[in-house]
Amino acid sequence: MRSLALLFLLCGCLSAQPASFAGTVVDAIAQRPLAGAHITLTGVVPFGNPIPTYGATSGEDGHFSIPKLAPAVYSLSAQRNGFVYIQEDHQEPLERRIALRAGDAITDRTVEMAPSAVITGRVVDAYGDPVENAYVRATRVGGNSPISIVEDRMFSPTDERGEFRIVGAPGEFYVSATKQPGRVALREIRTDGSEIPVYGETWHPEAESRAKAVVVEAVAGRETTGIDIRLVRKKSLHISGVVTGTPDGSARAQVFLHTKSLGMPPATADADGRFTFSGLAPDEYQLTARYEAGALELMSRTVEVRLEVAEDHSVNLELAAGEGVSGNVEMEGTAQGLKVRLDALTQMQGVEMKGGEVDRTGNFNITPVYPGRFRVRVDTMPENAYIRTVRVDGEAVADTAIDFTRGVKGAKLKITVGVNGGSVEGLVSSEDGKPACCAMVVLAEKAEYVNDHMKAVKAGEKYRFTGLRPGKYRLIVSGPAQEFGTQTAETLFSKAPEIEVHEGDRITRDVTFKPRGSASEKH
Amino acid sequence: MRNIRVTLLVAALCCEASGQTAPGQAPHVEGVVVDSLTGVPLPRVRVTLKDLAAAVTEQYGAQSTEEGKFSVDGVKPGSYSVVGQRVGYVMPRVKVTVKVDDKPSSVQLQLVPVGGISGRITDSDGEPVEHASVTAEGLTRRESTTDEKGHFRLGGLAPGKYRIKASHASQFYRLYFILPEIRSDGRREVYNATTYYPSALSSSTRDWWR
Repeated sequence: MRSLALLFLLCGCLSAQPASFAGTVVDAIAQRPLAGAHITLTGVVPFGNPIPTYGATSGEDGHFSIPKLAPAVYSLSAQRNGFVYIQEDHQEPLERRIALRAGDAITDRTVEMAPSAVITGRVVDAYGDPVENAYVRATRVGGNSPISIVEDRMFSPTDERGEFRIVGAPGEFYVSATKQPGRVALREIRTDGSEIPVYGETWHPEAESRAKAVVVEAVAGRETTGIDIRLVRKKSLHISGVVTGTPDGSARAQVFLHTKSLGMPPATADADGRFTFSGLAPDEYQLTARYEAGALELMSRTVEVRLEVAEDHSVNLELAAGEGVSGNVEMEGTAQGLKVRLDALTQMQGVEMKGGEVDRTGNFNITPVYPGRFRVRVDTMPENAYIRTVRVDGEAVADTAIDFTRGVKGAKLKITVGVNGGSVEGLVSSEDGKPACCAMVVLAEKAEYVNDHMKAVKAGEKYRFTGLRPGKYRLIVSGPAQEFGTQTAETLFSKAPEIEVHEGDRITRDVTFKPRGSASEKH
Repeated sequence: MRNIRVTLLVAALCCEASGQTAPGQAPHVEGVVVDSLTGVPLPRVRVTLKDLAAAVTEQYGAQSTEEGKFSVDGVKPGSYSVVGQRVGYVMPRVKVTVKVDDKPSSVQLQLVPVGGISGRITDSDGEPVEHASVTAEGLTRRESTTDEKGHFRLGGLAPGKYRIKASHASQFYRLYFILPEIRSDGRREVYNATTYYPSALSSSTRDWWR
């Protein structure tokens, strides 16, 4: 949930005066105009309201022109055989967008292309055998994040000869290969001393870390050949364990295993509840067991296993029925009609909780709640109301986050709602002083809580957050967003200015949106 | 005396041979993996035996030696789906029945080398088309993309007949959905229709390989 929030931004300026967009396509290496390049401006599609795509082709002088287009946020791309579109060095993908307001006339946009640079080679294993379906990627030296749209695509799978071919922008790159292990959601019994091959990410030519990699130079219009990678073999590991609490009957528990980035097919536990995953590379894994038979549904808590060396772990996953959580909401006036919700912070496999309605006496019940961590939410609170404290069996918790990884075990919640929370509001303008068309404003106590208070503002519209719990917040102003990933959130959060909110504060803070992502205050 | 019998039910790829299992051993499956064209033994082939019974939680595995030999000890009697996997080869799964019996057997697995198809995609003016999506349709389905000279290669194909088709730049090379483009510079965007080798707009006998 918190890893990727998809945001769609609606620009309130569709029916207004058209904008125009023109410029020149140049070959950035030869420093000459480039004819025959196909330019497209694609509307960043607001939900259910597609904006058309506009196109033009550059003439002999490299010039292109789109005289009339609807004001909106666009993504620019350029295509021509044997050339790649070179983008400016924007760290945030969101900031590569082109925002056109009503009446904007851009006449001199330079679109740079370069003859494609090609890197080819082979991926082999320790015996020199080709490795098929390895994923080979070129990453620019001197940066973690790719710097152009083209470079986002600088990867290639290998074929059955182990060969790959990466086409992209010129420059210096690290070339690395990863091979998804042939891991199986089954215990694989081998008696010949061999093991399922598992490889770690390997950098050209044979390095286990990027620091030891040999830098590859990709030259515009040329093919750099022989960039071979010999994959470094890793210990092939198993995770095994037992699921307990399986009811009698023919149904078996399923065990789900995933890493931060990958899931895999679940393993079915045997009649005794035992399960094994084979062919795993050293990594951090999370395991959850689930059992379903008719209306009966049981789940275990999520167990984290860190695999480093040869040892196998004995994981115990204890199935439990969902429990009921009861509690009480205390606030000035009546809490009746409010609804308490528990948002899962750990991976849950499609569990829907019922209840949460607060009755006349302030009491509520939620069921079923399976082992996990949650944040407490109260829906449709009066304006300025906020959750002041959450207590579990009398013990106050931080950030309204509760830990039920060991089960609810009859715990009682006590939620205190304050009715005089703070508020922060203001206008967003561009650096030229005009109202910014389309920005994302976020107020967050922590980088991981960027979804708590978030507002997409149209041109001239105020942002406003009410019902703020007293505390220190950061005010983040970002570009027209489509994605707001965890990393983006952390970067933006660390750069954003702080605002302290006290009980009942009414704060006005106008901000300027700078394309670099952080907000600066107006004085 | 505990011996096993291994019977291959998919006959074309396998044959039965004789070997001796030492007395007192648990059921044992062994064999050799060869290249079906040259007969040369293949090293480092991953051989797996998966029980055909429902709800299995384990399988047997082995890796062939430099001489192409593999072995698995302690195999429970039952029916198994056996396959050998090595880069550059294909092999249909075969059924092997392991029984406690007094007639010992061993398995020969024949791996078939894969082929490749390469060529060039051009537009109606004879100009190369870059980023065209090229697909081989047949026993297996493979997809590739043309380079800046219009060249493509489809590798890893099981021997057989394939139909090759080329499509307009794959969506992968466009950032978003393909929408009709609004143009006012007098030029038209050219869309190349999906074309079957060598230059047909449709596969006249569709699904002929089925």
